[in-house]
Amino acid sequence: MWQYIVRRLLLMIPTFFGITFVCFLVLRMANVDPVASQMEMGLQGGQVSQEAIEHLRRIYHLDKPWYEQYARLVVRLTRPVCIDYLEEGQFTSAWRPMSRLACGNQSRISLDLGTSWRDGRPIIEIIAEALPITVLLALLSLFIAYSIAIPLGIYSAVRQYSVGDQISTVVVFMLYSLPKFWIGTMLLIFFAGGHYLDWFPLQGWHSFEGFEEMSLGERIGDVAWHIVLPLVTLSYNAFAALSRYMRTGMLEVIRQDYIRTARAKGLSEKTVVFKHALRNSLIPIITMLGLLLPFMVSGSVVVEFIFGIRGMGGVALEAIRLPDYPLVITIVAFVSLLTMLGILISDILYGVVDPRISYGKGS
Amino acid sequence: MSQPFIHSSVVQPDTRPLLSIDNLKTYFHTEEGRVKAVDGVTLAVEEGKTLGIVGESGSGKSVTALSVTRLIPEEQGRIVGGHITWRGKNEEVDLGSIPIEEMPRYRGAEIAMIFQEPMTSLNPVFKCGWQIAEAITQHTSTGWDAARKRAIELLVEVGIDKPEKRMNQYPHELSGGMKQRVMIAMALACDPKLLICDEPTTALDVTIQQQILRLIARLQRERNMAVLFITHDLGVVAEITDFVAVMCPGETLRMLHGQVEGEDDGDNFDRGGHIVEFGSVTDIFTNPQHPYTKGLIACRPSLKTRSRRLPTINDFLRAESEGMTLDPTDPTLEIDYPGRATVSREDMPGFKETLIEVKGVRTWFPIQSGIWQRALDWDRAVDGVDLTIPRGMTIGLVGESGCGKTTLGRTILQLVRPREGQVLFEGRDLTTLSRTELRPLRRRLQIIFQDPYSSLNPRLTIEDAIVEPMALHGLYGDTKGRRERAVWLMERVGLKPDHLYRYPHEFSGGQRQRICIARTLASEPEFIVCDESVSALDVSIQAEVINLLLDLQDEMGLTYLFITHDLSVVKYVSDVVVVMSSSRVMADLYEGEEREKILREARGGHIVEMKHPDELYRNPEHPYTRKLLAAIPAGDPEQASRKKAAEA
Amino acid sequence: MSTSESMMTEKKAVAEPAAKTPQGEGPLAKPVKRSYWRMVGRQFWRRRISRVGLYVIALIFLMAFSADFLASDKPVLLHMDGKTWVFPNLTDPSDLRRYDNNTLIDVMGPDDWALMPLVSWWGVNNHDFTAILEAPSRRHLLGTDPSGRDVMTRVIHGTRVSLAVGILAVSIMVVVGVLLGSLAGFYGGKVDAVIMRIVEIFLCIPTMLLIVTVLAILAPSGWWMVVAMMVCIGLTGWTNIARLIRGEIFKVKALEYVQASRALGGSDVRIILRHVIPNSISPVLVSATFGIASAILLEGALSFLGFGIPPDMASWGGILTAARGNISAWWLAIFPGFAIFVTVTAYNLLGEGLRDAIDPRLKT
Repeated sequence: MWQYIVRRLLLMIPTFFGITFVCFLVLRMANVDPVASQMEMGLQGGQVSQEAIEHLRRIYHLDKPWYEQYARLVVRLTRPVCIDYLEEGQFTSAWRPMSRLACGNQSRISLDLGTSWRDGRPIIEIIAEALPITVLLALLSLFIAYSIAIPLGIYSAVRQYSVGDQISTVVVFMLYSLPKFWIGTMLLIFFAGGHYLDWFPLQGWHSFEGFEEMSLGERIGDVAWHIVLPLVTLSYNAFAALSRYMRTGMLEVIRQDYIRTARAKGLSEKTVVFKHALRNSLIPIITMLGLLLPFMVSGSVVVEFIFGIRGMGGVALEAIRLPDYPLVITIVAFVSLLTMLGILISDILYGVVDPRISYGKGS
Repeated sequence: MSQPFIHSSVVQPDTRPLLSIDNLKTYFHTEEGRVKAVDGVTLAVEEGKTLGIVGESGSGKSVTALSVTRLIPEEQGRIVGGHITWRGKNEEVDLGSIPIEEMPRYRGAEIAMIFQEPMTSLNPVFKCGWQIAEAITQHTSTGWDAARKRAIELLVEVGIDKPEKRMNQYPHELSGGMKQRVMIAMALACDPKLLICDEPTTALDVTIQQQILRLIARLQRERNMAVLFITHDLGVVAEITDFVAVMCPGETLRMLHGQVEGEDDGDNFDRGGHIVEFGSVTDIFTNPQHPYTKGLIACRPSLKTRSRRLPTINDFLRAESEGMTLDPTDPTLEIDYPGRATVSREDMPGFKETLIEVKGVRTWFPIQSGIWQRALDWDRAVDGVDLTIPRGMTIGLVGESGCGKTTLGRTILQLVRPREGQVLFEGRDLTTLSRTELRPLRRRLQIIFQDPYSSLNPRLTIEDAIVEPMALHGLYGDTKGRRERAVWLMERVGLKPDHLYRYPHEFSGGQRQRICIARTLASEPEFIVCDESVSALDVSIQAEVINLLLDLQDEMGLTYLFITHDLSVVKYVSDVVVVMSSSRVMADLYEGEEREKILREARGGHIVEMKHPDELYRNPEHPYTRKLLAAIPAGDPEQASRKKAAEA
Repeated sequence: MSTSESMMTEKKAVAEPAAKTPQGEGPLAKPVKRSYWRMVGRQFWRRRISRVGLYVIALIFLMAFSADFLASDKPVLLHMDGKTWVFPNLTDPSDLRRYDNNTLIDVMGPDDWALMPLVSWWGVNNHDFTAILEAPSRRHLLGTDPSGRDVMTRVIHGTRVSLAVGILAVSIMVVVGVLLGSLAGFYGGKVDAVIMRIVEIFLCIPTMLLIVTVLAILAPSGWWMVVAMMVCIGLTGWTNIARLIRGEIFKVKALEYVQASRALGGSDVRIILRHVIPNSISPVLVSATFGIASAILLEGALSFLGFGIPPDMASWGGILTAARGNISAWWLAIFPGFAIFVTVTAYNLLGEGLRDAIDPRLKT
């Protein structure tokens, strides 16, 4: 088992370089001069001399050849450094080798992902704010999708061709074809905003006013109230895909020889379905987890846009509009690497649940 | 409707039988219409006796068995008529008509089943011990710990070593034979009164088959169980059963009434699978009454067969319908048929001259493992083989699965390149030739595969498939010439020329194998590897295809390397029999230290013994060959009892 | 080894009709063609849902091609002041440029006549400043957007973008996917390892964000945007098809008819083209059909986010965007969304029908 994991981790290295290279290419394609855009954003203000521009270009390494720029991007994405708290609320990234000793009480070790062009904040800070929101949304909606899809899939398979099965098949099929951005917008129009039903808030993932003063319980309630509509929008697609998958998987398993054996043993139909068939048909559903992750990330871009949530997708879209391409590319790279890890975990999970997979003789 | 032959020696028992099936009809509903899988079957299984049902595929034998336990999925097939009377624990019940929800009371507890495919019949995600214990707790009030103890006892009873260890293993960690033993242990868990065995040994190697058959026979004796044994193999029937029912669909009996395929007919051929003959095992083998039974006995090559061609069921039915009375047990019986070769291979040029020489061939496949996926170990499929193949002869290559026989065949054809050694074809070493250099030679070296369902491209018409080899090698001039040749080939293999415009899915397994033969012949080969080419076919079709291959050899002077696992077929067709094995295969026949010794040798597939068939079967030298030959199911009950006596 | 008996009965049932077809007398009688694709076609047609899918798609195509006749600010035929214009809706003649349908009606004399567009009299960029953000009415059947453009017209014309992006993006996907997938599948080993790494890269990258970024950077105008979108969607979405065909080829490669062709000395190219691809392509067809559906969804999402089709072109996602800023205008959301939903559903139905028709049981 450990051999398999090590092998997979090693295989992640070329993938990592591939991902960063694609990101780098896009960044090069942008060919945006951060100096110019910073000026546009009025960070510096006033006239800037040619020397100053050159100086800035050097700081951003724009005078270096492409391979050096790429190497710097890779280094930037991988090297942990200390972030020192210089003054209250202000950060600067320090290009120091990782060393606990070098970091005093006021410092912490973190990934150095560079700084945003716009306000000079470390990108890692921006991601640290946005990531939990996206992860929370994705995990919750996956949880919802799985917990409805599995029972429904089992029901549909066991009662194949019944009225219930037919209705659920049609509904699931339609859900599958419904665009997220449509449903999100419609939910917004009809359930939030006060024109029709004012049940849910319009934007954000918590109240803007008074959130700081709330107790923990109130906060949870407030967030829950805010994320109902986003969760619905994010989960129905995955739910539809999963329940179809579960149904066909279950139908497939029920035809297997070992199910006949289980019946021949004299087990009741309930035991046959819920013990023998379910266990086997859950295995491919678990692998789906890895494939659903990228799907959820894409979905969260739209959902966060509609509901004005500042998750990874929301922040990325904002950055594209500015434009702040280093931030965007860093987010893309970061999300890709997380997805890579997610897929690895679901593969390993697969090996844990399916005894037939031994991942080589090493274990 | 014709009544089955019931032998007078089948005495009506005083007590009523354990299970009696009365005029059972089970029909399937497919998109193509209704299929009468079982159509009016009547039989009885007595307590403590073994009843065998024998028949070819489509005869409804398995469906009969599955109908008893109502294991046919309802959406596919249904019992539409008849009664299945079960006299279990002092009650009499019609299993055919009780609600399906009540069946679990009988399944496993009173009637247990084992199936053909041990590989897929155990649930892959549960441990073996758990699966056995589950069966015990299902029908008794035994606690879980007691059930586990009982499961270990059962594993010992079915002859599994290290039962404690096996309890905690998953099915995929066991060998096929062991899995079947676990299945049997599971079936015995609640002391059933009837054990239904549905082709339990078909998927197993012959030595393992023998072990399992003996195990079933022993358990039947010790527990005084009734056994309903379903098989396609008459040899197995002779070995294990007391009574035999022969089943076949009405369709098969066409020839008996002198009618050819396609002609319209009455009820006779419309009838689905039914019993044509029922009797004691001795009666069936020594005094068969129904022509179909006779044909079934005659068409299977046995170790005694001496004829030049095998009688086929259709020829048999035709001959009987014309008033001839034939003795199916006559080892020299031959029936003339249209298309029989008129020349002999002995008259062909170069007969018995050396065609191919295999020298010290080793074909190893790397087993990649570890982090870097390096070949740390080798699968030594072929491990040092020397073999000479003379022109016009048939070399029979026989061995159990995993002995490397298929790889050897493919190595000779250079479909797999060996690691070392030479393959000389007319003195040229094929292993040194590049792919382009090999191409012109490929025309002369051909192969016929096992599975008739995957050996034809479903997207090509038969014509395209047969013309392709000719076009590839530029034979027969132009398209017209190739077409004419294709027509000739179709007729030669016994098919109609207008079949050329059809697609493979429209043909039966036997027809497809004929098409494959025609395709192989299209490139005018001299040497053909027949890789299990008749193994997937029913015995009657098998006989037809073997006859065809022998005729073609006589007419064209072909050289065959005949690869098979069937020891009777190989004896019949071959001029020289080559037995292959490997340490791993041989080790399974031994226990303890001897096993370890063989395993330590770790030799891959190699030739164990090579002789003229008569000589080999009379006088096997190598201990493995002896074990292998002893495992061949007896051809008739007389021989079986002799064998049993000899062992005792 | 012999297969289980129920399998055999099944095979027999499939082979059965062959025996019943009338057989010709002569050696080369009229061929009874029953090719694989014919069988698939028959199976496909047999199911109602696949027929419905096909009809709906045909209807949508018809709508896309005749969009200018259904909705335009110029008449289809016009006779005015003794002159006759044929298809002014297509040609946009300069002397009519200052008119639209509504103003034409006012200036037309008693002898003049016109054949108006069938559904809507408004053009794609025809602003009706008297009716900004108006709910559906007789004048604007599906209402107007915040700049007074007719939603009906834009929904009808939006069909073009959706279909174009959907079909062409999937064409790119299929070409790239089949090429890389079959290389990986047929050669295996190192080729396979490299291609599978590339697949994994695209699997991990959030494609939506990547496409948005690239489109924002390139910012092409007009139809170039459609092209850029197609290329982007195509170049990021091929991984599924590649993996599918790779798996199929691994399966087919082991089959005996491919082995037989190899034993005959057939070249790699011949084996791939004649035996492997035709037998692995049908699942790709199914996947491509579903791919069109998801490409249309993706196009909608991109336009919705404001990075897709520019506002002066009609696209369904673009109309929907306006609904987010004007949440009382339900008509801006319902109609374009429904158009996407219907199109996507039709393609999904088609894919479903194809998949059922390409039942593996028929392949034997």
